[in-house]
Amino acid sequence: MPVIDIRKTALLARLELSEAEIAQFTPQLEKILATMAALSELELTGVEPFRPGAQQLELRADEVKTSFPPAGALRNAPGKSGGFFTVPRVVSKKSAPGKNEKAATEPGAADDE
Amino acid sequence: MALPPESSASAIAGAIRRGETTALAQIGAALDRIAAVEPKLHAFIKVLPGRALARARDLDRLPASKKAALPLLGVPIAAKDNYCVQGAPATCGSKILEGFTAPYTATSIARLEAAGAVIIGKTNMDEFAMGSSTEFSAFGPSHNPWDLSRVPGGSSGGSAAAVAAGIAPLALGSDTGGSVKQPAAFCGLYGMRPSYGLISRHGLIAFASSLDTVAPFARSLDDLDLALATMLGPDGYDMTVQEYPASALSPAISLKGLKVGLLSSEGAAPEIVAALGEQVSRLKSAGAEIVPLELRSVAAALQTYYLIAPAECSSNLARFDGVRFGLRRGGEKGLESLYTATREAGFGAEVKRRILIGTFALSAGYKDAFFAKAQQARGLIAKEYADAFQKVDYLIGPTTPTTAFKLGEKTNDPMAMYLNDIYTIPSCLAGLPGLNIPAGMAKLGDGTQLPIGVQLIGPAGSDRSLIQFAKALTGNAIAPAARVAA
Repeated sequence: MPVIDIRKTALLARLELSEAEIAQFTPQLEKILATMAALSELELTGVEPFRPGAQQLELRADEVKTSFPPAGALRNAPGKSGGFFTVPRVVSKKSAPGKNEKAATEPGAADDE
Repeated sequence: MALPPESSASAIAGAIRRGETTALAQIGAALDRIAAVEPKLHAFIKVLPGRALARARDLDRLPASKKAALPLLGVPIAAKDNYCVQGAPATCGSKILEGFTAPYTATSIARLEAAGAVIIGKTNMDEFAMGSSTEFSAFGPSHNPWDLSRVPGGSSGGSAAAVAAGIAPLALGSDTGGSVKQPAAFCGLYGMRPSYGLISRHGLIAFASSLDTVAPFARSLDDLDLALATMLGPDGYDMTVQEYPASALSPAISLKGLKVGLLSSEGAAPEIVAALGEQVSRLKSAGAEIVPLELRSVAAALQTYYLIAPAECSSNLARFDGVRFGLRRGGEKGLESLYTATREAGFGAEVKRRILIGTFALSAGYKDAFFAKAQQARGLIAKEYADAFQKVDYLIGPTTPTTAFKLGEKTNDPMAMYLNDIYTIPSCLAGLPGLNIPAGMAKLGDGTQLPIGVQLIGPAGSDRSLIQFAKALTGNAIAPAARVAA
């Protein structure tokens, strides 16, 4: 039974777990995952997965309808400016040569993956 | 003269139409009941008196001809806090949606309000609908009106408590793996999980999109049927909604000659087994044929659910990242740190556990072993139910393995908490409607009485006739409201 790599999984899930949480969750998750062995006891060869609601995929008529107003979408924004959501800097400054070279070469500083 | 708040929805609407009372008086009575019991119950995250009283006044101003067309005229309704009600908060029982105000109203709620109902408040729930006791709410647990030291069940515990305490005749919960059926059993209510695709999920904040359903609580089957009939049908926003042919009003059902499959109660406490036995005897006396059934794939239903639901939740909860709504933390070290710090601060332990399991089950190298297998297992379970319905008309079985447990009893052991759902989960995986009916009380040594529930399951789309089956079995009994101990 594969063991969960909690740190790697937390990274994938964008969760910054504390050491205490890692210590608490690891045995709990291992116990839960251990019960999943029951699935391998089922005869599943050729069994189709079941996805409710997938049977009706009718497209609606191509009629122009109004969409959700941007003002409403921005109402709950923790940060906004000029009709956009604002977030911390994503792209590092690569302006005039020599001026921001340091910022541009800092590994991983503000760049998202 | 206001009717008592524990009156049925149809009684309240009828009395208002006849001029015997007003919507304002009825909503006032519900709010008074909240004030009296809420300190003990904690059923609500947010009561909405301003909005409710304003709507009540609007309803009272309508001409008689308009009032006559409103089957839920002036009926107070509580809604779980994962429903969007425009202008009101929706926290999903979580800190991560602190400050969030819903920008639109869920279809199910809009339809109830269009029929004259009045939302009086947003009820407490396990965070993001993950739990079976309401103890995982970021705002503290709710209490069972029958015994305040016990849980009302979950994740829709607040809505269950509100109806059981006689605050409102109807409340909306959501049922993903049993989150309405189980609290209904613990609180002595009718709680119905409809067929997947009966009612639009537009405006119900998503947990597991192939499993979530809009699901009501009531103390009367007539009220339950009215709520369902009002809400069901396509709305142009949820592509999984279908028009089931059997959605029209169903005729009364005779138990004589009906074939009812009896599901296993292995693992259930003696009082649950006894209560189920009593219902089976009733069916037999009325001339129904009982067919014991063993659904073998159901043995893996819990595992199947606890892979699929977390996987879907890990995707659905990715949107809570501090960017567009709710809590925002961190960000000093860039966008990445905004996500991780926000989610770390905003999510509780159970939500984090499920996100981790789900992410793991979907991750490269493990997706085939876990998620794909679980989806196939789900196919096997759905097929077993379909085969069963070739032989029988409906199924009957236990809803929960025990009566309501004490607060704090299971919070340290996630697996123990998951085991509360062993009887509710299987039919959820198959997209089938399931209805909890109150089936007696268990008497404890100290004189406390705790409700026991029994589950009725029907084929997909049979919701209205399943309710008729329940009416025939229960004699259309009204479930009494609990008197909350002073």
